[in-house]
Amino acid sequence: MTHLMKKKLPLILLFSTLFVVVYGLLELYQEARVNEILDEQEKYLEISYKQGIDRFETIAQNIYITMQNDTKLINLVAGVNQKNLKKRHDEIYEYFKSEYDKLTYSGIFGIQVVSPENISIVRMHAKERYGDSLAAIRPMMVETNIQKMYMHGFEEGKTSHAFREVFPLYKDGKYIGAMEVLFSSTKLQDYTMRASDIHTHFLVNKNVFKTNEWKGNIVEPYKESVEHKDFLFSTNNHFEEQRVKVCQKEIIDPLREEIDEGLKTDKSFHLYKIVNNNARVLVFLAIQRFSDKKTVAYLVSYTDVKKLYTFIQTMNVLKVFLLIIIFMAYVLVTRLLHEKESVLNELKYDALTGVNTRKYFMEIAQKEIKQLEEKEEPFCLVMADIDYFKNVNDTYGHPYGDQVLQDFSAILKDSIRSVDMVARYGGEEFIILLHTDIINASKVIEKLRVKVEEFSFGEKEIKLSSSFGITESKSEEDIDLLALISRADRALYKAKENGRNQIQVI
Amino acid sequence: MYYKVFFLLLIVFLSTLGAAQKSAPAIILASGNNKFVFPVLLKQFYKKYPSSKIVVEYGASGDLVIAILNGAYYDVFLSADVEFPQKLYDEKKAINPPTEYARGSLVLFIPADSAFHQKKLKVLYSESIKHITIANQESSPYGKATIELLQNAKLFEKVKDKIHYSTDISGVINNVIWYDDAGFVSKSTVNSLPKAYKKEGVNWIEIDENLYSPIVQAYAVSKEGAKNKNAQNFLKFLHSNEGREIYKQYGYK
Repeated sequence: MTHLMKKKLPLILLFSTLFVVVYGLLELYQEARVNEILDEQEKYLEISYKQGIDRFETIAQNIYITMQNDTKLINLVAGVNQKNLKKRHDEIYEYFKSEYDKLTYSGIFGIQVVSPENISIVRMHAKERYGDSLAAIRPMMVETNIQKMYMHGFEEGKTSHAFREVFPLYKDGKYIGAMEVLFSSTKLQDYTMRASDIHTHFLVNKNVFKTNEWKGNIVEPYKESVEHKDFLFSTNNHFEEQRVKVCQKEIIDPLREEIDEGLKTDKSFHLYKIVNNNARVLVFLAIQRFSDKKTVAYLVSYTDVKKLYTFIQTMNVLKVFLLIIIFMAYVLVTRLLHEKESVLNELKYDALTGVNTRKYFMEIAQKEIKQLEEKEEPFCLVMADIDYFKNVNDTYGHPYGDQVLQDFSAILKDSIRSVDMVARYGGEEFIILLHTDIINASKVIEKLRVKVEEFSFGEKEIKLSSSFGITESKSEEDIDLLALISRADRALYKAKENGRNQIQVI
Repeated sequence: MYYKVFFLLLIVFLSTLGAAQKSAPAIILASGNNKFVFPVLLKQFYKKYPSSKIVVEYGASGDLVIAILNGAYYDVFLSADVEFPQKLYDEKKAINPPTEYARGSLVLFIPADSAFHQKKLKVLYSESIKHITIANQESSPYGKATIELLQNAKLFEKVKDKIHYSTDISGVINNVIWYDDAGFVSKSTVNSLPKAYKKEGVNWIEIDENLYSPIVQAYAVSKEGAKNKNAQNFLKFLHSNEGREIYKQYGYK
């Protein structure tokens, strides 16, 4: 068994390596392709997000243009100071209220106007609860007052966050302040869902809120995000408790660690999970706040990507297929090698006796003799024959004769060293090549002869004798094997002539 | 479906308010297109009749009639057509035949297009317009008129796949502004558009009135309504020059 293992080990190693290499390549390919599909999903979300932001910009611009062209409004905004602030605020409020109602009716989250000195003139936002209280000025409006140009971005407030579009207001070419149009993240979700058919969550880091006032925001209430405890999401419109629960159990919890890792990077990332015969892809698109460009929010999309699922399934089948193919190849190769080996053995060994065949002996002995001659080392050639073997066949039958041949061969093999060689020359005649001089050879063969004489052959334990003809290489001409055989044969003949069961040397 | 059940319950609740007393608040059920004219109308009405009490509930004319036939209380029902109040009269749920109070007209509201006044209805072919929102023709006379005009203009077959039904005006306005849809709405709706989306010939056009049967809006008065002082004052104001003028300002004829 260990011998067998030794022979098979290199093959097993070779095929394992082959499997590992091909499997590794498949894995690499799979990873690359999966990433490509996930990147594609991220791209879709990014495009959809940008389209939403573009739409915010377009709508805000339209509002800005009408306000800029509204002479009455511009006159009211121009030249506001601490003294006339209250009066102007009330006038603007009265004048603009119905228009503001129409704007909120059309999906605007809020509007604020500030003076160049950063005094909040009017703020109309979520009026049901917060009225138009003059809240602190946001960094973006302060920046607009400095740069006097259009700015936009995402920024949190005290109670909520929003996408803000800020424009400079002018009267007769003179800068008179900035106006801000706000859009809610819910509107962005609405947009991605309706315009691109992508299901999204909008997450905002709760640590960005400077106070806990967000807890009282009833217009756009927040809930702790199932994706991460540091984040909140707005529960308006799209929030479905049951759906979120299922999503958390099936997707978010199993991916928890990966999500946590991704959120730590502050960059966009994507992952996927196989659920219900489909691949659910999650993309976290990082959203930076305007003031310090820090990632404070994520637009998260959940998309079923059949293409990804099919690809992964195909790859799995391919991997199993590969395993089967390589295993089959292994079996095939071992079998071929085994067959080749048996053919070689047939040529090399006599099927009945297990000693070498005559053909193989002639081939090897010829080469060896040449080498021995060159090295000037002595060697002897012996012809051996079982005496009266024909009688064994005639008396006990051929199967018994075969048994005798096997026993005789075994004695021959046992009596010589591994460097020497013995072969069946034909019938009951054997040939031996001994790597030694004639003195030693004679001793070895004599011992052999005695062993045969004392041996009981076969089941019937019959007694037999054997005759040997030995010859030694003498000169350089003796590299001719046939000549040597012929000489040994003559010696054998002599031994037979002289009454058998003896050794003769020529 | 739920909203309809809710709607019926609400109307039944309102009915309990309107026990047939002369001083009880008048319960007015009004079709959706009145939503924009009513705040102004009532403001002026209260100036003239400061002690009056009016409760208004809006809905699609068809839905309101179903509610009334199911036993909902009302004093005055302002429909968007003549047929629905006629039905109430036929079913003896109104004491008089339909009385006209306004004539409505249709406008087409689209994403801003500076050549809209030239293209007119042809904009509906435009590939950028994916959906056309119209009111449901079964419950809303405006929806019925829209289908009629599309058929008369030989457009219906070509654009029918783009048609979506909705009676929610806010939804229609949002869809046009945010998603580049088109929508057929009552002309009174134009008043609820923000200035940035209000430009005639760019954001909306009035539809050629020859393309659809006149949208004659009539009202019905219940037996209780005829005795209710608040309801009678309201009807008086509705027929007054002042009342008519307000409707005119909001695009009615």
